[in-house]
This record gives sequence, structure tokens and C-alpha cells, in this order.
Amino acid sequence: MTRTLLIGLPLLALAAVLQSTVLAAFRVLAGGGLDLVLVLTLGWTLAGDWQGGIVWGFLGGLFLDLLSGGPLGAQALALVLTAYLASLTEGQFWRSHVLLPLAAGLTASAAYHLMMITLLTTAGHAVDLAGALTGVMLPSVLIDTLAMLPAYHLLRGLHAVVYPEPVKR
Amino acid sequence: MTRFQARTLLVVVLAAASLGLLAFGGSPLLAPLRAAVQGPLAAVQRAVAEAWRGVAPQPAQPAPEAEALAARVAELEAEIARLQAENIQLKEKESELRILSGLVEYARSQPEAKYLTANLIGQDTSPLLTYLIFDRGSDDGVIRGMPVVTGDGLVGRVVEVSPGACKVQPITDPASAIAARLQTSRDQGIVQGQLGGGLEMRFITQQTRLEPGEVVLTSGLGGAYPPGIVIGRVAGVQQLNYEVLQRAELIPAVDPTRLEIVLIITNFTPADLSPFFQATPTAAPAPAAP
Repeated sequence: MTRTLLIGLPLLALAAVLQSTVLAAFRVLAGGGLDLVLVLTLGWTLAGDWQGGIVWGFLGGLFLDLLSGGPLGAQALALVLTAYLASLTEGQFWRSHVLLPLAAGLTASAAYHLMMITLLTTAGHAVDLAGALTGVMLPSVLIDTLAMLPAYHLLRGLHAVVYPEPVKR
Repeated sequence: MTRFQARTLLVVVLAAASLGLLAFGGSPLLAPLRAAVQGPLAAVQRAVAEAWRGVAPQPAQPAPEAEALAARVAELEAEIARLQAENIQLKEKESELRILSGLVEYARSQPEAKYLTANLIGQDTSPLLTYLIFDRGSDDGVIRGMPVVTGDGLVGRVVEVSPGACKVQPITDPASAIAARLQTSRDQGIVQGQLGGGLEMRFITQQTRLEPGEVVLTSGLGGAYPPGIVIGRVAGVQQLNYEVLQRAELIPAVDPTRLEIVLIITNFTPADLSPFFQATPTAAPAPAAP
């Protein structure tokens, strides 16, 4: 877990800053874009660190919350639950085919955005449901899904370096 | 404990922590902790934003060739590349100068106010929200509620402050409501942000004659903003005979998605009207007759 935190803290802080600066310039339609922290959290979870992925979701969500005007804890909660859902199969399903991380990205991104819409509405923020679904969620899910494949393979490589498989005798 | 149970326990703990933050995140007890994390985060954000702003296409330098002619071509290409880079930099400076000239012009026209320039360093990380992050915070004297303007008009107001940065709610945010008046008729109304980035002026009486292009200003009522700042212009009117009031669609004077540098009005403190909304103390019961 220490190694997970040592890698996760700077990586997720940088990802949250990039999401607030560089990636904010590439939003499409009503604000849809790449959710880098979500993609990293999901990639790390599917790469095999199921508990670490959930912790990454919490930390990444906190960084996002600190750079947002929304309620503190909303993105952390949404990302923790998304990482937990992704971790349920312990990778046995998602890792069984090279393209299945795409399906994981699609499902998790949709679940994350639905949770965010629900949490923000519950917290009293005005959210245009139709606009949020078509202008934000739809393009974001598409972009997150496309980004999931390279992100997953990169993070799987990183995971193999950080947690090398023990040699079987 | 099985792996599944351990993971479920971890999720329950972290979800409970998130819910705790949702419930008590605004508590002053957590403010030092927030500031401790937000400080370094804002510093990284400022560095990344500056680096990103300065990114310009840099044409590759051609490799020197053996022949004289090729060398001359390479030299000229390098010169063109240098001039192009210089031209891009000058255009960037010109654009910055134009923005600053507008801000100076505005500051000159409103000499009673004190201003602090601030650079945009980030936008809300959630695409569902529209808050903006600037590089000035409590270390620079910024406090919650201060209005933010540009030479074109009102941007919004500061809603959260950390030592090195502040979050601004733009006037186009759906949760924003500003007491406003029409420049010509002096009639008043409330300007609210719309989902999608527009503005709508509500509570205008049916007798008011509204013309497209009419300027809408802050009225100062409610004490949240100083009076006389341009909010936008009337773009369309929705007047229905069976309604008591009419509405107007406005074009914001400032597009919050195209901001770079703004002015924070530092000598304006929003009025605290909360004592007026507290329950009036009831009269003490009359002493019983002997």
C-alpha cells in the first residue's frame, strides 16, 4: 500500500491540476472531456491493485474537489464507488480480453457521471439534466473509453514494475 | 478476513470519510487542513497554467547542409522560424497589453475602487460546474464576496479563498442571482445565470419598455455588488400578456470561458444582511395582575 500511495499522490495531484488547466481547454459540447483522474484510478484498479485503486479514487477525488467549486467530498465519493464497482470482478473479467478495458471504461465513466449528477443535484447545485447527459456525460464517456485502453496498458506496465510477480518454482 | 471483506470495509471507511467531508467540508475547523493542501496544489496549478499559456508552436530548426546553397536556405529558414516565434510572442504580448489596457481604462473610470489584478490559473475540475480559479488569495488580501470585473463588465464574485488562490463564481452560473437595473428605464430586476452559460433578467414589470441592446447594470440592492457595473445587454424579450412580469434574455458583457486577467475589487465588502433575517425577539410577557 505504501508504494501505491507514493506513486498515487504525486500522479493524481498532477492529473487533477492538468484536468483543471490543460484539459479544461479541450472540453467539447457543454463541457465534456477527458476525466484523467477517473481513467488513472480505473486503470490502476484493473491493473490488479484493487484496494489501491479504491484509495487512488479517494485521493484523486479529494484533489479534484479542492480544485472545484462543488461540495468537498462529492468527487471523492463518486470515484471510491466507481473504483469499488470496477474491482468487484478482481480483474478476472476485464482482463480476459484486450478490448475489455474499453467496456470497463465505458461502464465506469457512465456510472461516475451519473453519480456526480445525483450528488450535485442532492447538494443543491442546479444541473440541467438533459444538457448534463447529452453535452457532458455522452462525450466524456466516449473520450474516457478511448483513453482507457492506452492508460490501462501503461498502468499495467507500471503495476508490474512496482509489484513484480513472484517467480514460480 | 477475506479479500472481499477487507475491500468492502475499505470502501465503507472511505465512503464514510467522503460523506463526512460532504457534511462538514465547509466547517472552519477544516480550513487550515484545506489551506495546507490547496497551497501547494495552487502553486503547481499556477506553474502548469503559465507553462500552458506560454506554449507556442516552435518550428524545428533545419539541419545545416554541406553545400553553400543548402546552408543559406537553412539559415533563412532558421531566421524565419526565429521571426515566427518572435511574432507569436509579440502577438501574445500585444494581446496581454490589450487586456491590461482595458483593465487600466476601467480602473481609471472607477477611481473610487481599489483593484488587484489576478490571472486565471484553472477552471472547475467538474464539467458540470463553472467556477474559475485565480492566482490571488488571502495572502493578497482577497476575501470571500469580493466582486471580480474586467474592462467589459462584471465577471462574478469570490466564493472561496485559500492563501494563494481564490475560486470565483461567474455570473453565468445557474446559482448566481444579481440585483440589476436597466440603464435607460431604471427599472429593476434580478439577473440569474442559465444552464449553458447565458443570463436571464427576471421580475421586470409589464409596463417596462424593453429594447434589444439595452444595457443592464448592477443596482447595488442587497449589498452583494457595487452599483453601476455592466452585466450585459438585452438580446430578447419574453412578454406574455397573461403574466404579471416579463423576462429578458441577456448577452453577458464578459464571456467567462475566454478570461485571462481580471480585476478583483478589494475595497468592497459585501453587506451582511443576515441579522435582518433572524427571528424578531418576542416581547416579554406582561407581569401578572396582582
